[in-house]
Amino acid sequence: MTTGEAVSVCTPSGYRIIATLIVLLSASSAPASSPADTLAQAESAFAEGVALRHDSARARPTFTRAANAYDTLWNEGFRSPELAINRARAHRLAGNLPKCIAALHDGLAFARFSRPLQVELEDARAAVLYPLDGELATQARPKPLRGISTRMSPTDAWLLAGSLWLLACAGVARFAMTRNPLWLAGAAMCLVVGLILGGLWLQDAQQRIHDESLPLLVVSDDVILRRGNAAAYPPRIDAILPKGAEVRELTRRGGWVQVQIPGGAIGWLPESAVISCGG
Amino acid sequence: MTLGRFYPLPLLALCLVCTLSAPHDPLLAQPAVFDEPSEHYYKAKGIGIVVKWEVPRTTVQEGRDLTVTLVITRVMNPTEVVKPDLRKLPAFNDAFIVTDEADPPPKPTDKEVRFKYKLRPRNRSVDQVPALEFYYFNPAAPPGKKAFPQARADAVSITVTEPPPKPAIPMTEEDRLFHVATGPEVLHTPFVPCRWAWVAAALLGPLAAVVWFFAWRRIYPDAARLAHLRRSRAARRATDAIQKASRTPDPPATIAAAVLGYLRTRFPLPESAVTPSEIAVALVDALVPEEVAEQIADVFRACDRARFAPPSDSGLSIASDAEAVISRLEAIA
Repeated sequence: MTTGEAVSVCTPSGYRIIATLIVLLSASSAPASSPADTLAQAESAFAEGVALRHDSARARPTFTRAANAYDTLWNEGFRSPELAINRARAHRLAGNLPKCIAALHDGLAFARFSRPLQVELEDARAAVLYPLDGELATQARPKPLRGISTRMSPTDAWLLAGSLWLLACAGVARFAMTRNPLWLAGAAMCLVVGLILGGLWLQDAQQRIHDESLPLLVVSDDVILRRGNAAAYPPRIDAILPKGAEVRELTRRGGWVQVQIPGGAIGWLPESAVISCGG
Repeated sequence: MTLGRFYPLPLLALCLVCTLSAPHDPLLAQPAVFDEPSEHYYKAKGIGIVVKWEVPRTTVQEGRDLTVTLVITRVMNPTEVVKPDLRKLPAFNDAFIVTDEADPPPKPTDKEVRFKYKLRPRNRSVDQVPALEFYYFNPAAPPGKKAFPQARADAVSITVTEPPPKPAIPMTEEDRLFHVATGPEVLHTPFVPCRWAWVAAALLGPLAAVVWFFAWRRIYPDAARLAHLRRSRAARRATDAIQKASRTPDPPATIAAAVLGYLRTRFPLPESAVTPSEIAVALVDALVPEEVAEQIADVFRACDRARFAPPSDSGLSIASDAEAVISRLEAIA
């Protein structure tokens, strides 16, 4: 370093630069919270909330902390049905039913076959205050998940299909050994079962493509479904769409989102009144 | 001195006239229209008006209301006094949420006006009900001089205490919601078969079958040969019959018939060839090696011996011999 450079560094502006660099370096070298730490924080906050469950005013903020930590893990790319259920329960106990439903859909988008997730979603949906009668009562309730992919995981399907194929090949081999046609019949049966399984998966995949081609949104606050993208438009349906209702996004315009409710009715909601989720 | 002696008389007369022409009751004098304060003037009229805060309780819990009363005494026009809007006064509005209380309408004869308010401290740092400036009209004041004197309700110290603890409301959610999976397994992503896993599964079946087949052939060569034999329908039927011969009443005859049937199907054996020697000759004519033909003849002889001679050979050995010759013939054919 030359004398001139040393002088320039020692000026007040030079000190500021050095201080800034120190701050930046210290910030960048600060150890980021590891996933295990975040998980521990989430579990600790959840346990604290459980301990305070006799006082909802104190318990709910701790469940919110737990939910935020679980959200962090999910957003970092960790995916498991257990994590999705933990997220959903933390949000629900924090008093945020829409985020609970969104978390369950996030989990089901990854593990559609998970029975606990399906049960949890149905339970959360039952807590949504849909009107008991009127147009909205018939239109807004989401349909339960169906299809072979809701009952069998890809791993199960892989194991089953692989086993059937192995049995079929073994049957052919045994037929080659014994020339007993019963073995060939057994192999054919295994192949037929495998083909039926594959057909069901194909049909399920096509159905999912059809059903889930539009992004899923969860209504985060009680809101009126309007005919246009402004509060001045009249309601599309007289009743208020309750928070936790599920809708499909068609388009967005000017801070409003055009949605379709499960019954097929189309209307507009403010963007601030919906949250996106998987599925 | 002359002027001093004569002028006081007319001046006195003038003063007298003025005094007589003026209203005798100073309270009925018209207020001056100048110098009216733009702020803190609430249309009160009187002489020596006194304003003060009445605060029955000087301690209030956070979130609760403090009832205060503004008392204005010596008022001449109680029905005309305007209630001060404390919400428009920053000193009050910054410290309190102000709620007006309904006041009983004053009577014209009242000498005192009372305005009641509810003040809810915005936080625990609030420590006083602020002072209130209060201008009023003094009808007795000479015009232009102190027509609007100022009264003042002095500040009153108060104490804002902690809010009472709210009653705990238990959470009513289902018990199962209070249980979550814990431990590092929560972060474990379950196995999802990728494309290569499917390819591996597809290749595994045929590979395993081929390996099994060749291993079987190596471990059981006879069985393999027999399996090869069974590819010929005639040989398969013959060997099936030979294997089931032991369950027939006359096994040697069944074996001989099975072998003869096989030979007639696979070779151009004349109908006249029925004895072992004739069969051997016919087989040699059909280009079967002489040695094999002789073995076949031996099988037929053994069958005849077993049928007609005293028992000397078991049906089992005949059957195995018969299967062996059929196997050799299949290899030749």
